[in-house]
Amino acid sequence: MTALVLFGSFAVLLLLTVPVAISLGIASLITIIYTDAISIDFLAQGLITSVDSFPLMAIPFFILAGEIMGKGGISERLFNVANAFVGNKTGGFAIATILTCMFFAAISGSGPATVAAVGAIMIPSMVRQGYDIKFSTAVVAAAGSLGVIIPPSIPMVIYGVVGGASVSDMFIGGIIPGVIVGLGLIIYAYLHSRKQGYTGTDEKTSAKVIGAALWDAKWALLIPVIILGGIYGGIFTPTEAAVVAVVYGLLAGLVLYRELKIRNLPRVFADAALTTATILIIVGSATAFGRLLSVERIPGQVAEFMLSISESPIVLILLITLLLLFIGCFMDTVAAIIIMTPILLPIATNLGYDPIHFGIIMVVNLAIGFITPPLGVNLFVASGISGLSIEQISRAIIPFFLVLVFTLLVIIFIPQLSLMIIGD
Amino acid sequence: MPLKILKWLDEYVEEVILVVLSMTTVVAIATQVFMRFVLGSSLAWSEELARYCFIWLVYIGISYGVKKQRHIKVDVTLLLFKNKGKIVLQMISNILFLLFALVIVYYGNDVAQRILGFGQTSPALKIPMGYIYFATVVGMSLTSIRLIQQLIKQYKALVGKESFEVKTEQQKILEEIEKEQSGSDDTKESR
Amino acid sequence: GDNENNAGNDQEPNDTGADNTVNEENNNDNANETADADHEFEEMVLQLGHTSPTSDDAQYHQGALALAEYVEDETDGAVTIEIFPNSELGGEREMLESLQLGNLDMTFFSSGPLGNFADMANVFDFPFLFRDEDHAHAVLDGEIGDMVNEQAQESDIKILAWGENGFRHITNSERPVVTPEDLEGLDIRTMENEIHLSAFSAFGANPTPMAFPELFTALQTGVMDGQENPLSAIVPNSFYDVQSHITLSNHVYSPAPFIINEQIFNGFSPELQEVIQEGAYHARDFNRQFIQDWNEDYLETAIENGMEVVENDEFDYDAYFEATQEVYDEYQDEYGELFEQIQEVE
Ligand code: NA
Ligand code: NA
Repeated sequence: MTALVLFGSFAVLLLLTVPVAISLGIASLITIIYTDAISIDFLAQGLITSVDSFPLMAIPFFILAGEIMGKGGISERLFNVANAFVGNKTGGFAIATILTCMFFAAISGSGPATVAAVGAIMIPSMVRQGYDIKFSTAVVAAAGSLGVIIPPSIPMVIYGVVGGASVSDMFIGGIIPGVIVGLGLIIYAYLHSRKQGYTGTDEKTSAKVIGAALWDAKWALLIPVIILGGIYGGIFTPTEAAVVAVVYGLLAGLVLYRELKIRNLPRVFADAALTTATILIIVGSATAFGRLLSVERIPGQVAEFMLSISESPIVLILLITLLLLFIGCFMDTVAAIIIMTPILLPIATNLGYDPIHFGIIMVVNLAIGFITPPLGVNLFVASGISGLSIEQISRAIIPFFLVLVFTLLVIIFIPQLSLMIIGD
Repeated sequence: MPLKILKWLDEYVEEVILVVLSMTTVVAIATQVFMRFVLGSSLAWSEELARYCFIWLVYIGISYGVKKQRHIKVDVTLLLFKNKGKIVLQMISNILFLLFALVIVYYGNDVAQRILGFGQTSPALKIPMGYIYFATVVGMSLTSIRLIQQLIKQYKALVGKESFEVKTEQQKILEEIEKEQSGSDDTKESR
Repeated sequence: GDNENNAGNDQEPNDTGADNTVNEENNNDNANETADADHEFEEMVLQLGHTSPTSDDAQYHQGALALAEYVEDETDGAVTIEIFPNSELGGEREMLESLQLGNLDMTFFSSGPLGNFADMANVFDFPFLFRDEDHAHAVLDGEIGDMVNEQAQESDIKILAWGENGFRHITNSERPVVTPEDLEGLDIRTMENEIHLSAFSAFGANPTPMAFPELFTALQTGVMDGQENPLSAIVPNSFYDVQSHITLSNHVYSPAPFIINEQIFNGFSPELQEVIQEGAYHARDFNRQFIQDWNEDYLETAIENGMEVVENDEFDYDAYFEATQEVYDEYQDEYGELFEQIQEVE
């Protein structure tokens, strides 16, 4: 009954378009008054204590770093590198677009930001090269999901903190799955391009061209080295790495590339703080919600219910996958992770899943939500850039959606992909 | 003169605080990394300072989020309504938000006052912990003001005296991209 | 708080409820029929929160169970203690605040955050303050423990009894640490505690405060070279997987008080106050035995997993003790009198 009050009121509030964080808070409030299980003070207190977390501070800094780097003409340079390698092959521009998204994902922690940064240049370029505009838009929208799958990743930070897993391990665990997803998209893009006859440019691949492109992009390509190398090499924690990326980005933007203006900085900082706050208020109010869940033993009941449906781990993980895909249609990735992790992680652990592996599964799964309507933020951004309607893109994106689901299944059933380079 | 100040505050108060707080966190942590990595001697206070600025940043940011209508919501229901219906739905949502904010101001203040009274301090900087707890009180008070401002606008729009547009996530993003492409200085969505 | 552990656990909490009600009715009948010798306790549920999982080697949970069982027995089931493990009601500092605010009745936890509420408790953080366990027990169970308790009670925090996590030891991934020179250049994670930080600076290390949940990965990737904790934190958290050396330095003693909200305690009948107080003493004794027994197992596990041990008698105590003096000098004005009183305790 308590569960019904908690989840029922939450659902009604969401339908009334009350912000997710406030819906969680009010649903908790109603449940507290209904059950008298914990005091309202816990809600007020949890809003502070849950945000009092050093790992969570990685979020504003990765947003900042992405914003700062995104301003400095980086996407063109990254694209030139990818293009130097594959531009003259069949489907070369589509493949280069996906590769650019992968590079950019290694700098940015966000999906839509990746679409915005890469799409603005790549969609027009692909169309000029003779690609269908629907396909071009769909490529960018789908590859933008890599923004949160390839580290750094804001949903990974959130999962680490909410699920009590190491953020560093999540980042390191995400590298290979990110590459797998990227490869999946590249393979489909290649096959489709071959069928449609999308040829490459006439330029020859040469060491000189590649070298020049790499040199031109060196400051940008250094960022993943600093962030991931710094974390993996034991120099920084993820939060520190994010701050180093901000400082580096400021240097690169202000001094090296001179494409960033000091007068724009306050706006960039305020905007990153704003995005951070809209995420962190969900973390804050989800604390009281989660506390009610665990005091009322609801995760245990959900687990019991799931196990009563089937005892097969395969059936159960597929059920969880379907549930998350469904949630991803309507809900923001970060919000979904905050709410679902306390409920699903105990079940997954019970089924024998490593918490890092399960975290990667959740992030990849909810990243697919970026391209599923009605709430598919990548679709919105891509449609804004190309001028196509959501309906037009949606049809073109179905094959990409299927590719993403297929790679998700690969990641689910081969745990080593997520776990092997973490090592011990 | 006071009216001018009020207008300036209305326009910039959250932004200024947010910029100061986020720059402080960057500097504090960057210094810590430099001290440990380059000088081999860590600071005791930098992490704590950064965390407490961060807490305040989140709660001031919530008010700014209301002002900019950027809070994360599930907006499928909006698609079912026409203009006036959308406004009514948003007013209901804002009233519920306002009630929640007021509850938090009340209980948050109670908690903060009492913790201040007990007198415990933070481990490194020896700041009274009560001051950290006032972040919700101040943040949610500002938020309440922003919500009331918005409710007034929405009410006026409802009776036809002013225009107020309720935007879905999609409309907001499309607008931002338009702005971006027309070369304005506004930064893009970055979730 | 240093014994946080995020391991999920599905074990049901202390099952109270229906069974107890039946028992209690029977007991009440008996009491009424025979004599008034037994006090009749008012039915109530007290909430106790702690940060450890519910496993057999988790000292907070086992200690809390010992207290709960005692109180339930002595009150014929009328008073039950409901245990919230796994930081369900928040971390240590948060629970202490909840307790002050009257939203949590009891907690059993490391004394780490206590000094922010009652500064006299900071004295226990000084290195090499206690000669051995017996000395620590004598100080905490005696006048000085009472003085700290009196100060804490001004903030509504009543210390019922002083359990322990045991002595803290140094681990690292570089080399055997015997002398202070061995610590030179090592990044050692400490709690965010100025005395610990001063001590490790004095020892020659580079102490860095870091949140406990980040620690394992920081050790794994090498962001930190070492850390210091009691065996009850080192082994259950598998630090032996990422640290190759342990020095049984006994450098700081880590008490673990059983705490109750003072106002709530004062509202109890004298009989119940006595039961709770005796229960806490019982749980304290249980906990100290528990730590002593488990420390042997913990150390064995650490060795089995490849940790190289510097025994306490190989450790260059004199050199460390000397390095420590500057920390004592620094705080002489604040704690000088207490230092002396503690040394005088037999
Ligand atoms: Na990324
Ligand atoms: Na979606």
